[in-house]
Amino acid sequence: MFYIFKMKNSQLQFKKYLLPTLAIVAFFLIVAPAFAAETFFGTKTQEIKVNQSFEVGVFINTDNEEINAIEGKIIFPQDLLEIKKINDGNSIINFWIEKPKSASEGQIAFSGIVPGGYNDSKGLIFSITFLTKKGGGGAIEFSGVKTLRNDGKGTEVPLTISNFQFLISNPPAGIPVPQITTPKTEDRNPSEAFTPQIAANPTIFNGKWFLVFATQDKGSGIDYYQVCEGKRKCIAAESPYLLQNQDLDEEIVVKAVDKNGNERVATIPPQKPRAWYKNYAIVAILIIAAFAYIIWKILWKKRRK
Amino acid sequence: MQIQMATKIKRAYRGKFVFIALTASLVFFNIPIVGIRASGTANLTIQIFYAQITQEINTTQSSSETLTNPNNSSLGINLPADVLTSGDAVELTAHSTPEGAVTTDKPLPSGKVGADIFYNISFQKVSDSSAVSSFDKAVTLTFSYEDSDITGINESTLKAYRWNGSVWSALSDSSVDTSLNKVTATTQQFSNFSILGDPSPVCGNGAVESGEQCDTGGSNGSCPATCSTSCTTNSCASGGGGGGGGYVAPVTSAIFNGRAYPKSTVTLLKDAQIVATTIADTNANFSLNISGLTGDNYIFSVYSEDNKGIRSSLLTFPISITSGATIQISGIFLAPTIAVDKSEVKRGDNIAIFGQTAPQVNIVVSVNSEDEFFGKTISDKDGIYLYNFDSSFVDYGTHYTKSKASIGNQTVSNFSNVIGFKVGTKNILTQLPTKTPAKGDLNNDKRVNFVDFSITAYWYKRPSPPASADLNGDGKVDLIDFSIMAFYWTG
Repeated sequence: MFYIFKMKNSQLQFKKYLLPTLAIVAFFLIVAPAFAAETFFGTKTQEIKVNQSFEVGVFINTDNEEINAIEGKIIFPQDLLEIKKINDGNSIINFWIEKPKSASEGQIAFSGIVPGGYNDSKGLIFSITFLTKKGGGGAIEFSGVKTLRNDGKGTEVPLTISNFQFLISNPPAGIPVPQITTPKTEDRNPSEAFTPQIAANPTIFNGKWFLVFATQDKGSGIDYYQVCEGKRKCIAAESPYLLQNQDLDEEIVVKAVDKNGNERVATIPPQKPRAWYKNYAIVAILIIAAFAYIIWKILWKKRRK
Repeated sequence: MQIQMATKIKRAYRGKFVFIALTASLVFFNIPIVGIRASGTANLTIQIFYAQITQEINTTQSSSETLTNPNNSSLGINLPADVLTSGDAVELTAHSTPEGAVTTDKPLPSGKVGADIFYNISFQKVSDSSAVSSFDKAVTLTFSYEDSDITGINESTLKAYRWNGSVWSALSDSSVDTSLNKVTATTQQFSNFSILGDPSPVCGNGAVESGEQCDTGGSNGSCPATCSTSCTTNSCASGGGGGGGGYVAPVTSAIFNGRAYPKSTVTLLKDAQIVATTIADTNANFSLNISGLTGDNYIFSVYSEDNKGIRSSLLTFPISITSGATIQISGIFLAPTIAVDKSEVKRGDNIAIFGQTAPQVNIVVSVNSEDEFFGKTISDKDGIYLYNFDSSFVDYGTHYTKSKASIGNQTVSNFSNVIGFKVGTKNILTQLPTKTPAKGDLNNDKRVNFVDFSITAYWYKRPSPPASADLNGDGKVDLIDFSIMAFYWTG
């Protein structure tokens, strides 16, 4: 039932095909880069003028490699461009290790993963909206970009990078510079529904309870998260978040707010029953009862006198 | 045409990792599929539709069918009695789909704009399932549209069009009733249909065009009149505005059909988080349906666990979903699970390579050494397969094996995970893999998910990370550790 066969080229076949193969290899080496994943920029803006907003997408073509992690930096000339907005909505990255943000002057750092792997020719990593400051030529460039294979070892994928050369044109002399703004896109959808989780691990926060949460916003991207523990004031938070209430006896509300202000709320009920002395109603009743008893006692003593 | 299209798609998605829009999709639905790839050599059928109906019809009597879309637009199909002189009963199949799913390979006539929703109608004889290319009498089609469907189209110019195999041709008796939002026409042939029209006049360009009462700067009243923002009214009185309607997001959903292992639990991840699980039937078939999506890009992954708790590799595919539509992904075929009975085999002895897949399918087992060896076997009724590999074929040292399954020549799974074994001087039996992922389960809950990611993220670039977070043991937590975690992800 079973059979086996062996795949091996004979020496004769090797010689027969050696020259044509070398010729083909040489041809591709000369006329085209070696097959490799490629990071590149994309924009719909045809002509860039001074004082104009334009959006640049940061993309990856995995070239039939299955990748699952990427990191790097984007460098741009500060004298020509200013960041207006960074949008990670609709990104292929499911979890950001470092959410794309302005790392230092003229740089945007990012790193994230795609669990299970990603393989396609134009995967959006994130997009940047720039405002042009003055006329002149420049380039938006990648720096230190690393892409890793979905192979369980994290081996690096050969990568070619294509930077974005641009030329900002000055308006003709005597004509005032028009203030052009990017049209506001309509995004009425809140972020994806999500379920925060409470966890504890001896390796972080000294084993104390912490909260993890993450969701995606396909429109404008997540702006920030807020955590509200019980009746405490809600505070902006990042995951993992060390819980203030380690007794876990209060409701926790996590809000994911996108860059258009849409909110998605997730609620975690109390994990443990509340201690009786933390229940203000019971405490209030006890105080009132004690107060009433004292008054009754005083009145009773006065009557006896 | 269909074959040419399939060839083009195959060329476009060359290489090992191929997304193939199956010819079946093209034949039945004429839908161009773009932007979707599954990891591995998965043969997926993708259908995008707003609504669909299948109905058996007695052609000796008059009949009427309606395909209603989620936004309440519809297509009415009215068949007169004896539409086929043979009197054969026919089965009607009709579905509606987004414009973009049709016009990529069926370009619209120059100067025409299409409504948002396109239709496909086909008939086949019930007796022998042969396609009915034309009827002996004309069938009346009634396209009911919503205003939002024809944005950018001059409504009065709407006409019904049919794709005749090479171009869109207007149905000669097409008429529009703009007060009822209906286009009516008759046809005897069936394929793709839609309503097309001329572009709407441009409000604000200063010229009063057809369909406009006025335009900015071009008010033609005497009081002086004020042109409305839509250029449709030109009045002297300032009327109050109407109240805004509530926003109701259309239902957008996805259906996943395929084969895993008999009675196995199948898990679906959306953007790396579990959204649905189901149990496959005894033939390993499964179906998962999720809704509440938006018209955006998602990365879906599917995996299953066999009867011994061994987990399959993740089958991942990025999908772009159209708002208000249902996308159906069929032909998912999960890779087999794989295990070996010995961690070390004495050279010359057999090593058993086994696992689970769908019942009665072909299995190819690959053993990677200096040369690659392939063996074939067939899974049993429970999907179990076993291949005894003679270790005398390979040298001493470490070797790796993987397997894949196929049904016929078309449905082929990805390769399974790769596992290693050593060829040496003695036999050492191995323990079966446990449910605990090999790496990345930092909190020991037998899952690799966002909790583990968060713990690892805490240690990102921090000094002296714990060994549990440093997955490659290089003394630091960096991108490589996250890549390893992403590989073993379970959601």
